[in-house]
Amino acid sequence: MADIFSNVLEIRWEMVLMWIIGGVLIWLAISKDMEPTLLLPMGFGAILANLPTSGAVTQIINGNTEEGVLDVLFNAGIANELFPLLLFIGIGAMIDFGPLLSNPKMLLFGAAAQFGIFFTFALAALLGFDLKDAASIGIIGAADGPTSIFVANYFNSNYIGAIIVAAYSYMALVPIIQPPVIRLITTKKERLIKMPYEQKNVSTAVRILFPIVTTAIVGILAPRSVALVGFLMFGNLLRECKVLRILSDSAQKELANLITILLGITIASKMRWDLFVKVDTLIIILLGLVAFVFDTIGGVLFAKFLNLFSKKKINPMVGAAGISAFPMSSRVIHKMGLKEDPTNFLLMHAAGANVAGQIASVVAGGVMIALVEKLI
Amino acid sequence: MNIHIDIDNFLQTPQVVLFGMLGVFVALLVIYGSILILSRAFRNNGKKNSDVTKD
Repeated sequence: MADIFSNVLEIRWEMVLMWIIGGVLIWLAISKDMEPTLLLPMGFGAILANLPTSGAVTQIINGNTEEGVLDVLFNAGIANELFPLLLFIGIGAMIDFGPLLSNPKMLLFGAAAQFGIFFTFALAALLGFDLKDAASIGIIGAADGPTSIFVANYFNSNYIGAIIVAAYSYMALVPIIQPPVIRLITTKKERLIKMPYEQKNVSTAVRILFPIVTTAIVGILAPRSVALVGFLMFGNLLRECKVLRILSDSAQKELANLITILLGITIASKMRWDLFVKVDTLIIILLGLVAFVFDTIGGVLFAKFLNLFSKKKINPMVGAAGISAFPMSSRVIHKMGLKEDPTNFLLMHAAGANVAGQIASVVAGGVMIALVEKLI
Repeated sequence: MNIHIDIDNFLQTPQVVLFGMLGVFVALLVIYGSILILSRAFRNNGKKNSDVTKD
């Protein structure tokens, strides 16, 4: 009897705190519909991994190492970057790059809205995080879960759990984060700028060649991110070639769903109390917010800058859609536009900038890896 | 880890910020150029619905 209850004595307040955090993640997923596909498995995993002497994570018992299934999954799918890459096939198959191909100028907003990544990297370094951790923290601003996992894991960051929680939480909070920031740095007159959308036909050949050419370009210019962009574009090629509809459907549904289930719960192996309950975690979560805010500022200010030279004025709010949180950000910008003027439809422009952000965030991840690797 | 102001660490970052943003812009400008070239090379010639995703 005493043996059965001995485990109760192993409970620590930090474990209880992690159960509460897990419960909050599950509540946010179910009640608030915030990224439920990721936050729910992560929330449950956080509870699972923080039970006293949990068999779900690796434990050393009487000098013997007993591997836990969450760590087995982590080593099999995240430590070697497999899960995020496979998930990118599904994401690529889901994305319609049509709005971007119709108006490729939107690519520039995707680039500008990565500013938060580099700003936060510098800020994290100033706060004393070593460069590999600072880079991993900055990449929260990619607003893209798989890229965050890829980069944090590449640098073997000690904070991968906090980074992933921050990345996915803020992606879900884009409708709360972006509007006040945009309103703060734009005038009413700027927010009222109308951008008529000219529907352009994009040929099938362009749609098919785009993923191939983009992979080649990114592979040459930012080879570190070629796996990410390659898998993203492979998924898109499955979609656009029109002869592999079943594979495209499987990538969008079965593959993406299976990986998402495993990804969420596997990340929880890095949400153990001894790794997570630290002041650093709070700082990282705050830095993640800074990254999203400065991504938004970067995109908006770049649009204002272009307006200094452009005859056709750009609504600066569209610049904010250059972050990768797709399609959340484009919807937010569209709604903000309608709120200012019910006849101003910004959705297609914002969608173009938003899918550009998807490509740009992957490139930024590769560039960050290449540059920081030289310094460490 | 102790949170503290680390100026030496920070001074290593400006080159990453500068070349990082520059690298992202260059890569996306090249993709931009390639889209323009592809669009000119493969005009749609009035065919309908090629931009409509059926699924």
